[in-house]
Amino acid sequence: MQTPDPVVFKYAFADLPVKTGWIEKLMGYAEGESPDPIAGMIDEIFTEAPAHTDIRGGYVVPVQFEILDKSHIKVNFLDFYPGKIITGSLRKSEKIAFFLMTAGKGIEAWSRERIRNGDTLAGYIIDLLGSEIVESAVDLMQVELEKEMEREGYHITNPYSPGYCGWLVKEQQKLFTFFPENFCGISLSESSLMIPIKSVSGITGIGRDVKKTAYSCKICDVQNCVYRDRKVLT
Amino acid sequence: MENILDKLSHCIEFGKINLASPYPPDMKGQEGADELAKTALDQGNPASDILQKGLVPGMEKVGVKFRENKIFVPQVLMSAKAMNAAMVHLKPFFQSGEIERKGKFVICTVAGDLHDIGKNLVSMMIEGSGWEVIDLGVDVQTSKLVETIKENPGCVIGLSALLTTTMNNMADTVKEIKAEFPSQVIVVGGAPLTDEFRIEIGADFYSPDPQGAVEYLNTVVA
Repeated sequence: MQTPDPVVFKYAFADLPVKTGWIEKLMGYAEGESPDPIAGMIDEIFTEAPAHTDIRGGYVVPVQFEILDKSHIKVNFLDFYPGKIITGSLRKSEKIAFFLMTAGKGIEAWSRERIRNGDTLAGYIIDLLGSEIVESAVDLMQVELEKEMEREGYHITNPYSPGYCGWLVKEQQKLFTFFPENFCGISLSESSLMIPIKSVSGITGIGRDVKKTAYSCKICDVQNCVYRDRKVLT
Repeated sequence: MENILDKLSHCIEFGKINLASPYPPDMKGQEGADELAKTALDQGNPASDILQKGLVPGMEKVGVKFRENKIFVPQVLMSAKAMNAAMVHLKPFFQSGEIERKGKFVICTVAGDLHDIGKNLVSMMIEGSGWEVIDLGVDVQTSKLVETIKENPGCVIGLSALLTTTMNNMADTVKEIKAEFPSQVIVVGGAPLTDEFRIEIGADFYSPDPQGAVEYLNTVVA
């Protein structure tokens, strides 16, 4: 079945709402209260970050979507098993979007270089920043998807990614078939991990009666999930 | 006057690497772990005392404070860097056998998982408590672990997973290792894990924090 071409997005680091305080919070500190030398190092990394990022991604809205049971969906004749939590969240969707986004390979290389040179702390901060960059870029792309869908009277759900909420990472192999090969420089390893590492893939439900919600953390028993109680950018 | 090994322990605890390091600010201009380890050796302190009475207690305090959320990952990394600066001076004594390691600890993230921050923290803390650490890296297949166990009989295996979905790979890895080496000690960790899961998959120990793994290795295994 024909899949439409992806809608492509490219962002500069300055386009993203990422703040130094977010990184401090991710590390466990209150915003603006990380001790020396951490705060200064975060500032330095934010200044240099634009040169190390290549933030690109896109989404596709396949023609056919069907929910087959509580944990099983079908998209253009391909079966996906995203688990009960995600399938439940897609329940009222009339169609879905698959998406890919990356912060680029430069940020990972930068982090590894700093670690190789003995600066593990800087490497760690860059690694956290890379994750925030790609998550923020997905949020921005979701806003664009939402605007586009609202023109047709639709709303969207939260985005959900393989690897979380019981959706196996290996299902990315099928998800990637909806995009051109090496789309935005993103590929899959043998064990279905994305390269560059700072990349995110996923699914978003689209429908007249769907809405974004706080993540369904109350029904999930993974207390330490990185997405637990993550706020959704609207 | 404070003993040089206590001073060294203090440098490890607070991440004071060397004289040139301006951090922590209240120790600016003071010698760090690098200089103190060298001086301690020059003064005739046995290398094993420098490890056991200087570095190990310092890292232990770091582990406990991290467990209690009094410090966070960046401060652990600073302490590990200070420890590594001191370890450089002790390296010849490890090689000559004058300092005996407590054992070998082989660590990796399981197949399909690239998230290595937790693994690296555990690795640093366990090394800082006197174990030799063999870090196999990320996304490691069971066959590589089996090969490493054969090359390092008596080692302890540490497996890490961040994703709920790679926990399944951890279960498979434990099952395959235990099938070939029934008495192999396997320690597991990672954000989504629980002790119930550890029991279910047949691993020997789970800790929600690195210090727990250190204490298990030092009290039960070593």
